[in-house]
Amino acid sequence: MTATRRTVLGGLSALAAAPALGGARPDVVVVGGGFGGATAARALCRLGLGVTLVEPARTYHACPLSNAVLVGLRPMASQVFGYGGLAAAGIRVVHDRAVAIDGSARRVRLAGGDSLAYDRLIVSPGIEIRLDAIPGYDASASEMMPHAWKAGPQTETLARRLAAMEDGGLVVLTVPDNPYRCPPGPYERASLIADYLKARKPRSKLILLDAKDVFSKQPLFEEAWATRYPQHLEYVPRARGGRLAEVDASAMTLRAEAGTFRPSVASVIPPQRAPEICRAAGLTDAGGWCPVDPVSFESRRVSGVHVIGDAAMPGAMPKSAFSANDQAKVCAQAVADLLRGRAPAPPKLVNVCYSLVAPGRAVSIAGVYGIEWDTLVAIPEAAGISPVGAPENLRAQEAAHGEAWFEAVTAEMFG
Amino acid sequence: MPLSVGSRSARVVLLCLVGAPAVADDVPPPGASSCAVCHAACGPVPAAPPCLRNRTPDQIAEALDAYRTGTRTGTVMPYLAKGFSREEIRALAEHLGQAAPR
Repeated sequence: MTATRRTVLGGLSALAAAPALGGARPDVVVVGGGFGGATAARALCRLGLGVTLVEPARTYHACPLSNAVLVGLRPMASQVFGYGGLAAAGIRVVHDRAVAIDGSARRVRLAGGDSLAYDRLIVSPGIEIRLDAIPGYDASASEMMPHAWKAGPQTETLARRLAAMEDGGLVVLTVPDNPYRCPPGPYERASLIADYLKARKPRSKLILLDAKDVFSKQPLFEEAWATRYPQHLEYVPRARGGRLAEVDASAMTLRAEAGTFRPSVASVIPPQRAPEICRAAGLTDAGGWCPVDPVSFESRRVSGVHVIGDAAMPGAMPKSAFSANDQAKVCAQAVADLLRGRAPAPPKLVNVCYSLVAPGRAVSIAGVYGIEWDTLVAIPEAAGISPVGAPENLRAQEAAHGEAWFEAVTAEMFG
Repeated sequence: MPLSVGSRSARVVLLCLVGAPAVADDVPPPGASSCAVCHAACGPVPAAPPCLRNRTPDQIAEALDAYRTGTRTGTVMPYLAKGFSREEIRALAEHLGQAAPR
């Protein structure tokens, strides 16, 4: 019976264009086609399960390395991927938006009106940019002061504004409090913009307003700023009034305790939370993220639903593409185990993240995460950052490692 | 159902099941999912981390033990290796080395 059913499901999963979605019953539905979802779909497929991936966009814009696009170091095209490789591997790719999850009926409803049944559901929807957190920062303000924290049109808008800015202009970049997607990302962005100003618009300056005093890879960024950009980057931590209080997009002003700024170019990275579908499905906690079991990534709120990537809160892991990729593989194995009536083994997960401090120069952070009681904790002796004061060739080697990781992981997902 | 659709389905099922017999009952050891991405670039990429499919389990275990005990230096590996016991390292090495095409 099982073999017959698997064959039938596999056969159905090939019929991507079949109109009667309600008639299909794949084993696993994955919501979201980014670093978590696309990886999970590929891993489930390798494990022999029928997989349907629900993703509204026809192309994916990858965030890692997109800060390099802002200053002309990479073309946008190098961040863009299609879903043809997933379909060719036997995954049914449905370009629609998941709008509701019925955990008791085990169905996902789509914006187009169809619904999909699942035995297990993996939700990997990324983040929602909060447009209700900073007074004045609403949808239209986000066009004037782009966050560019989801790679795509805002990345190109911010790149155009930087390119069009006259020499002597002020750039203001603001950073939210934890937790948020890609903890070192804002500081990489600040470094690359400062490098661009120093080289191309030397009378200009970047002010970095931060809602916190302590951040990822801090000694390495501070070293890079002091040695490379002393005239072009000013860091204002929370303790010196760096927390953004309010913006006025029409007047192009930003107010913090440290003062009111009227820059030529602003990028405001607001606080974030798990997207609407997670709240609607009852997957989120009071903090706005999805608590999960760290062994299987199954929601602590809704059984049969697993949450991975930035939307999940499995413990100490940072919200990074590397984490999402690793969580996806661990979750896929756990889902396969559970569907086969086997308890998943306690995993160990890894995060490695590279940040550019200048073109072709990167620093890294690395960590291993294990289960302690009922959460994921960082193993203290296995956590660290690149050495401060390292020679340029080490920074160059890490930049190459970062790029090699990006090429390999995107090939694994989309190739 | 048209014949062409049937044959396409069959082909896709085969593709989706490639590798499945090996992994279905052979659960990778803890941490294994993390290694392959960075160490999978086995083409001519000079700056990429070494390709593990070209190494034997003994070579991989020896390298990880050296990182773990601090006798070998590196960038992220001295940290990552300390997250695993000797037994876990052995299991990882067997798993990653076994993936080698022979």
